[in-house]
Amino acid sequence: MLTKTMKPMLLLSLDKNRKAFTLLEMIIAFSIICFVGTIVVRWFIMNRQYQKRVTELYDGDTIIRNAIWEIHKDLKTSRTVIYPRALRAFANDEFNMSSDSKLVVKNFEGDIVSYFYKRDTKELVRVISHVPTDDAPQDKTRVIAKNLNSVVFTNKNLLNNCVNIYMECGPSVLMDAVFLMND
Amino acid sequence: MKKKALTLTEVIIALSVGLAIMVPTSYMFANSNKQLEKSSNLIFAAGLARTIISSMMSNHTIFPQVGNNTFISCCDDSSDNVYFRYLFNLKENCGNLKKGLLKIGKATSPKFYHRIAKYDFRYGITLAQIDESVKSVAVYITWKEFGVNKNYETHAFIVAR
Repeated sequence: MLTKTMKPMLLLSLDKNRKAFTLLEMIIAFSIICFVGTIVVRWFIMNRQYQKRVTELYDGDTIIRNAIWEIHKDLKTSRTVIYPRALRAFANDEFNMSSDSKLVVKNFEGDIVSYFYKRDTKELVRVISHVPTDDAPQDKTRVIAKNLNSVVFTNKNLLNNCVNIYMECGPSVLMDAVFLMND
Repeated sequence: MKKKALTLTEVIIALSVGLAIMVPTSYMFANSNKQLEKSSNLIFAAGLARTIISSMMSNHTIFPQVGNNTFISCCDDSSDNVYFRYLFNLKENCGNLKKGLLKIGKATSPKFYHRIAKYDFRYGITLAQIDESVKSVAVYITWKEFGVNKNYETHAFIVAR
């Protein structure tokens, strides 16, 4: 038995003017939505990747450039490289090279300037030891670069007047050299 | 109120507007990446040139001239490229006399090698004699980025000891 409320609903659903979606229409609609959705999602992911890469490259370059600029300022006016020392064991240049993640130089004021790469924190630290004539030695420590993946200082010259610097930060790598004006 | 579906024209216009926004935005990201790579390559080339010049200045020696517009690949591991390999040491070897020089290669320095190989960085050296002791040296660094040949050059006076 149909109730009074159910009767008009049944009549409404049987109304020939109202038409539901067919299976074919649904499939086509879903296909279009999936196709457009895939393109849009892919576009978003691609842009995010680009953005990440651009940021990493920019940050890496900036960190390395700033660090090398700091080291350049110190080394250009340094007298000699104390560590690493080029090895005197071989006549051939190939084996004179000596590299380390630390660099120690002495400047013209008698101060000892050191650079240490800390692997655990990925930081490059600069320490300057100033020795006044009538007082105790004073050390000043400063972090000059963070997030570095690798730092290598190379001294291949027996005259100890040229330092090669190699740095890695994210996708950025840079090789540079400083010639000490100690003559 | 009569409900009306979207016409084909409306759909096409909507899609066109969407594409018109998406395409320049994608291009903008791709282009900024390209520009950054370009500036990064220039800095990299300047660093390489400075390293070669500094090495010659500190040793008072000049590497053999590479003439006739011949440029040697920086990641070429052949014996011809021996001078470039002498310039760098990307790994620590302090105190280890046996280890000596660690060559630039895929295994020892992958990032450095990858960059040099990707953009085909090459170097060339020409020199001119000023007098018996002084020589003018020019170092050229060339590379290819996005289908365009690029170069960087720097000059120095080397005094023979």
